[in-house]
Amino acid sequence: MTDLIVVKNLTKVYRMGDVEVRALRGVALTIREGEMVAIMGPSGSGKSTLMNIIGCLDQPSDGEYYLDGVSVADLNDNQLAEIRNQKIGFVFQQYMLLQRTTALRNVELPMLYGGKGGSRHERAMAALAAVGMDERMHHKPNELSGGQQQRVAIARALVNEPRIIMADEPTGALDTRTGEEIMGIFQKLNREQGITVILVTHEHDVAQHAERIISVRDGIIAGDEPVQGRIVAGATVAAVATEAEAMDEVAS
Amino acid sequence: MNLIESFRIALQALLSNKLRALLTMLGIIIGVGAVIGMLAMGNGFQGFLNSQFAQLGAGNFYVAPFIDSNQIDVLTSARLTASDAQAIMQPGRAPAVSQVSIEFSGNAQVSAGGERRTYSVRAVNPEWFDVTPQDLGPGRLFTSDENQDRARVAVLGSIVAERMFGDINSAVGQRLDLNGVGFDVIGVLTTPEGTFSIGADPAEAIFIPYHTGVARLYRNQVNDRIDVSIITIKARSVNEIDDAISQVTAVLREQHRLTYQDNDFSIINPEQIAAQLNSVIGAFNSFLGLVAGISLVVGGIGIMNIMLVSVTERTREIGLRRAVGAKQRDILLQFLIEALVLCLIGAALGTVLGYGFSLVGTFVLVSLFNAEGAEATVNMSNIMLASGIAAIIGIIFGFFPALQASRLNPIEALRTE
Repeated sequence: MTDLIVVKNLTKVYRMGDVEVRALRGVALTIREGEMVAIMGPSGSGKSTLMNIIGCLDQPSDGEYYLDGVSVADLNDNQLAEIRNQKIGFVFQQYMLLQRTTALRNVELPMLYGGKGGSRHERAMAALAAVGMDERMHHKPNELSGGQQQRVAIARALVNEPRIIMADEPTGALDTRTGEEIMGIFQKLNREQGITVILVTHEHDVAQHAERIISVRDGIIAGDEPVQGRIVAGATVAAVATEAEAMDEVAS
Repeated sequence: MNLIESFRIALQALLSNKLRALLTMLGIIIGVGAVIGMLAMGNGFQGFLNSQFAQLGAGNFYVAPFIDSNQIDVLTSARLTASDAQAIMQPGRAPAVSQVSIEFSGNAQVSAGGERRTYSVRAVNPEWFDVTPQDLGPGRLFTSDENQDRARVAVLGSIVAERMFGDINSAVGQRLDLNGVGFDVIGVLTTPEGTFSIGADPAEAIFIPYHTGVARLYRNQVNDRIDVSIITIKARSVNEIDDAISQVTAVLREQHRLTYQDNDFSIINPEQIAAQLNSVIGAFNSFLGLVAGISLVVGGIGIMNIMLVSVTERTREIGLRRAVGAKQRDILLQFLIEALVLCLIGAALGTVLGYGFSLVGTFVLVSLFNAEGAEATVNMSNIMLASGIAAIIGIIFGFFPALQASRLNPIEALRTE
């Protein structure tokens, strides 16, 4: 497998008035294509800064970052926007759907700023189908549950066929069972479509769904190791579902 | 990102808060309405004025025995005679002139039956009716022979006929006295009251042959320097009016043996007066439009205000759009188009209001300015002008908020609650 993300000696310094905050202090890491990685760390560790730089929302103060062989540190704002549009799909904790706008329109959003050809409509419907939301494509966010909204958000991330999906606390606002379903979708996309998935989380249970956990602390990589006893969401979901059905049967 | 999509997004954003959008547009609506209404009123007044001048007859100009008040030439006193008019009509002397009519007018005691009134009596030659056409009711006009013979015949304006004889049909064939001289009524004019004329209103005047008037009515008022009060001259065409004026001036200066002296007569060109009045009214109209336009600027400030609020409210949306690949110029365009759409919808509603204002304008023209028959008219070009200004204002005042939106840091925008 090729190296999709190569980061060398990455630093990020913020200036807050007279105070310099060194959010990242020499980070080096490599993520290969098709991996499913969790980035963990407490708040203030620099994991958000790292995610923003990897997601091309921000640029490093110093160091090198190669995304798919392209040196990102040299790109301007427009080029970064293009990379975000074409290569990266974002999933946020708060879903970030446009209110008063149907699921379909929400999923079409990235295609307004550059697409890969073909009918917008059809591609958006295909993306919704991939997350099992095709039947609710005309619903607006306030007519959907949290889990359903997050599925729509994942469809939006998928629609431009990105190389990477970056998920920032994707289950943070969901209950455990719905969270498992969402993790199942990520694992499925990773397994079946080979999309590189980067999870940013501070929850161990969530991180256990990845193949590899990178721990960030005080602006440096504190640990980077494969996951022992990886959770496969599908199995759990199936188990939970069976349990629920069993209980339903008992009840009736 | 294509423009149609931008307009759709802008419309959706505005529709999601209809009342706010309407209140924001109010300044633009009133501004556009006021500009259109004001200009419509100006158009109406200008149209009224031009129609008044048109009643004088196209291509006509006038020579009067006045001295331009700007001249301080004590050696000259005014001079204008019937022989001047004959000189103008001599072949070859003023080729741009087609017809000349002379007139001497004054007031006279008019009596018939028991009625005694004072009216303006206009002694004109028969050509006068060709040069300034009138509507003839019952009877006929007088002839050249009657003029030469100093015949005592009179043509009455409709109001004179009604007041002296009850109605216009019974006037013809009756007799009436002018300063004690008996005249036969041979015809009645039905020219409407208030028709613009140099001299007394034709409906309220009595017309008699020129020579009759000079010999029998105005004998004491005419002398060898002045025996016409006005000469009406018709140029061959409207385009030749300037040539005609210079030719007539030359003829009259020659007749009056003027060399270095100033003119001892005045030439009145209604076209020129109309042009001057039109330009004055046009300037005044532009001024009114400008004043009305100030409310458009005020409206623009309202637009800017609400767009700033909108940018703040939608910071997260901006962050999201940036995250999924919107460039700075996409965001700039989105908010600029939203401001533009706001102004254009405002302009459309303002145009409707402008039509309403123009109805009020018509009322004001007719009842306050006594411009009977005037109608405030909304021009397509006025609508385009007002809407164009509204659009420009939308772009100017929308630019700063849009720029602010486009320059938001995507990370901070996403983090905003």
